[in-house]
Amino acid sequence: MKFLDSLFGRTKLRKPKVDALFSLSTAYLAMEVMGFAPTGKSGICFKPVESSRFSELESDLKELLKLSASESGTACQFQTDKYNYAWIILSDDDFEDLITTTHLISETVIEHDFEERLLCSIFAFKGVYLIYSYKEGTFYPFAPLHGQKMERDNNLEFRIRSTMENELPIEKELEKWHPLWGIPF
Amino acid sequence: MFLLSLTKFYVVILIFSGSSRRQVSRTIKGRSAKKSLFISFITSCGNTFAYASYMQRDKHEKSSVALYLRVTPAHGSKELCAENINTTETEVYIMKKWQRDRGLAARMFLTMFLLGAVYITFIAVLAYLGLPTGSIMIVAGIMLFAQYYFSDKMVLMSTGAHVVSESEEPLLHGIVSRLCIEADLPKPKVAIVKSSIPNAFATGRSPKKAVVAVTTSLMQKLNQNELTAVLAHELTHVKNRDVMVLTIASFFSTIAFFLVRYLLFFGGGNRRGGGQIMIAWIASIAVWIVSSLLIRALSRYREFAADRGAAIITGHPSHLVSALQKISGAMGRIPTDDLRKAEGMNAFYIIPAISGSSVMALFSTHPSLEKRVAALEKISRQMETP
Repeated sequence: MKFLDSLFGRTKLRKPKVDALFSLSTAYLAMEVMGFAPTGKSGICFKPVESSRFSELESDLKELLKLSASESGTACQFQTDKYNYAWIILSDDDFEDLITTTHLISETVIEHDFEERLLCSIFAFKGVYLIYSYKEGTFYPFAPLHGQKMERDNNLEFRIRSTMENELPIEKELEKWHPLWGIPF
Repeated sequence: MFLLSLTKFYVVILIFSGSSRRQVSRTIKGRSAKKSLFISFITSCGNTFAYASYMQRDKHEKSSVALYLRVTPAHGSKELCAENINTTETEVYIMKKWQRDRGLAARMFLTMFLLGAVYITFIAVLAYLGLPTGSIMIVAGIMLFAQYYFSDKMVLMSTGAHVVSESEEPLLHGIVSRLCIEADLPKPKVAIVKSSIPNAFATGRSPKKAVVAVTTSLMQKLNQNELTAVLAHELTHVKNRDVMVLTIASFFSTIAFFLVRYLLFFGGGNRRGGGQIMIAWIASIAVWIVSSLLIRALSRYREFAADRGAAIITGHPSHLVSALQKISGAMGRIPTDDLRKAEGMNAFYIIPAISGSSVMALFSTHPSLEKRVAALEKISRQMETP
């Protein structure tokens, strides 16, 4: 059908995949062994839309997060960045709680029919981020170098790819390893 | 534990350094039945290095520990000897114990064995058919020998590489001479090719006649660590005598290729019947195809071995990994534009499906980048486990 879609110019956005998130629940141990301990922070980035349904989603999310915060002790905070993307930043020392909360939020966003709005979720490790792309259902490493310049440590990223390949679905096409500059955590 | 062994080595170096007052490479070898100690001093870029390696062979494997110390004479004295080594300014590089890769050795042996079997069958078929192939063998033999014997000059000529002296390229010579001491090789000639493609090669019929060449673009793109790793890879080719191995391996393959081209003309003269010539011709084609596939496999294994050697000589597999990534251009494929910016564009792209290239892998002389990196990562994991 892809061919017909392109023939008639029917743009379809890909459905997000969320289940691969759980592969991180064992893979983070391998990251720890390599010397990249999780910092206990993660974030979900999505693009807000102007509609009443979206504010409904936001209030739903806030309520949900309050509930999960009382249960698992996950602290959360809402933020908007310079690209006008919304961030939900989670912090919890228990890494598995971070994963389940991220999954919960993603599912809620999808349930409210804002699935194409999900951009990515990001898990912070010491010196490197793992970015989960919802569209591809894959992870890729992102290691920004310190300083003002937008530079990244490709060597470190390749090293992470080669050790994590067996643990995680790593994005195979390097062209899709887009960075996110100025991650707010 | 680390410090303890360090001081031991240090004492050893001090003892030996007393007898080597000369600045440049003085090698002392102490050998007992199964252990060997190798100490040398080298001067490179104004720094004097003491290099000590300790090798031990036990029943199962050869292991080696190597130390690299930058030694500086104490203030006020120019010469370096046991009394005036400045201990505070000493940098230490440690090379961990390493083992042989048995799997690689087994695959290489199997490939060579198969190649030998193919060649013997080929000779048997030719002998059975009784065709006059002796002259072809002699011609091919002379050609291949000439190619092997003059490999250094031929490659230098065909690539346009020019040999550079120590004063022209002090850094490159410095790296090569240090690596040669570690790899226990005579220092080869160093050449530079003016090219915009980052590449390096080694050639020459023996370590004494070897030439190591790098392109100008390679020197620009790589930092010193990566350049060292690439040169160590090429020097391992020299040490493993890969030119000789591949020339011998391709001897009968070349003959088969000659036969494929000329057998029909050769056979035409005598009236021995076209059937036999046809059989010999088909056999030659089969041998040529099979043997070139095997030679390519062998070449790939030699590449893995050279990567491994480079990792062991430099002690940093990661340097070669980053050099390979840079040369292959994989780094250039990683985008620097923000995902949030790119997201708006993505809707218009039709992402091309990337098909696997497993068939091509059979025909290539070098293993794929992914495989080489994976093998190097394995070595670095081995180095981390004590």
